[in-house]
Amino acid sequence: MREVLRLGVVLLVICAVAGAVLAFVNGITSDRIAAQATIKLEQALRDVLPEADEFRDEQEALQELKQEASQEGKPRFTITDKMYTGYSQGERRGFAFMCSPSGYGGPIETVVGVSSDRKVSGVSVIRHTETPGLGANIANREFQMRFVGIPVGTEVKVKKDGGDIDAITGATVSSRAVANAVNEALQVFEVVTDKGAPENEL
Amino acid sequence: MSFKSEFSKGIIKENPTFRMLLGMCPTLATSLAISNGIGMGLAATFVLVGSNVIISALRKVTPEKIRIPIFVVVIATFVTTVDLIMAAFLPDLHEVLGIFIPLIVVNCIIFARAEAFAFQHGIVDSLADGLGMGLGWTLALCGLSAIRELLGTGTLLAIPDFGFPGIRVFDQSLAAVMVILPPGGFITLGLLIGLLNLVANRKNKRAQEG
Repeated sequence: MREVLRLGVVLLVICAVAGAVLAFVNGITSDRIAAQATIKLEQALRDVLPEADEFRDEQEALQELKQEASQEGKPRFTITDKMYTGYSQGERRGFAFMCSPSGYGGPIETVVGVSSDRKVSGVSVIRHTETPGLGANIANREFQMRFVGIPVGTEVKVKKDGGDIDAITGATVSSRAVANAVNEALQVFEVVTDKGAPENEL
Repeated sequence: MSFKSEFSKGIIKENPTFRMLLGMCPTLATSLAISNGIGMGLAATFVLVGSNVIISALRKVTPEKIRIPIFVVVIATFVTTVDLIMAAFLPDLHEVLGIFIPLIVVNCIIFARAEAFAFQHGIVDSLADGLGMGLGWTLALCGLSAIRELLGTGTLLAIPDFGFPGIRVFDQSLAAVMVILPPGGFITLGLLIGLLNLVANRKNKRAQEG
């Protein structure tokens, strides 16, 4: 009995030390990691919507839209997390959406830009945990370019699912996830522009 | 044994991949491109050296009966700490190595060296062991991924994270995609281990006869 207690106490002490180390490291790094993520997101927004140089967070409009678009208690637009409008010289140039579809190894944070001419203007993957060498190739510019120019109203699918997008060899699941993100971004764009909100306020 | 022999044994004589068959899962998963091999190998080497040193330092106060849970806690804490610090202070490096980190947590080479070596040896020897095993694994990964990348995609040294397409050796249409898919991984690894065993056996035989 005493032996069990002794072992338990040793393990407890080691776990407590490990916990304290982790808490300390998290404390000194979390602000910097958050700052890095913001920089990355801003960079991605400019990449996917090159015509715009000023972006506005449209979080409230997105929440409203999600609620309105839900049908019979079924939520729609579940993978779209954030919506931004991009402006240049006071004019709205398009929308950018942050979507997190599920890939093979977790959520793939994808930013999709849709310009005012109702076409995909850019796709950028800012965070993912896909398999290196296979699914991780979704971060390739060459793959992301496959989506550019797709007009609103198209159902975006990989070829295996009957669509037009060439999936990455050996990484259909990851490719499909990015296609889902683009698909949903186009749908949200369609709803949001038909509704006329958020209007060009300037 | 000396620092040098503890270091060098991991590279050929006790190579973790080809001799001890450790860490097969991450080996198969990441040996798709040479850049992956280097990234995964170096990240794992760093963690291996760190965990070996910590476990060796704690070996006197670690009760034998609960050493396994303690190894798990130490290794997981170390990996997470490295991940967070790298993400905060070296974001560019984290961009490239970050995807390998979740794979390191479950890498049994690190665990096996903690159990088989660091727990019974001093800090300096454990450091040498970690370094040698890490480099041995890196070399094995690079060799395996060079074959798979070349046969599977027709290129060498592609680095997708930097947008570098690699050196094209032959056309994509001639490449056997199967080699970069899981079955190709098993077949390539098996053939490579067989080949190395053949070479080693020949060498032994010659040494006995001579």
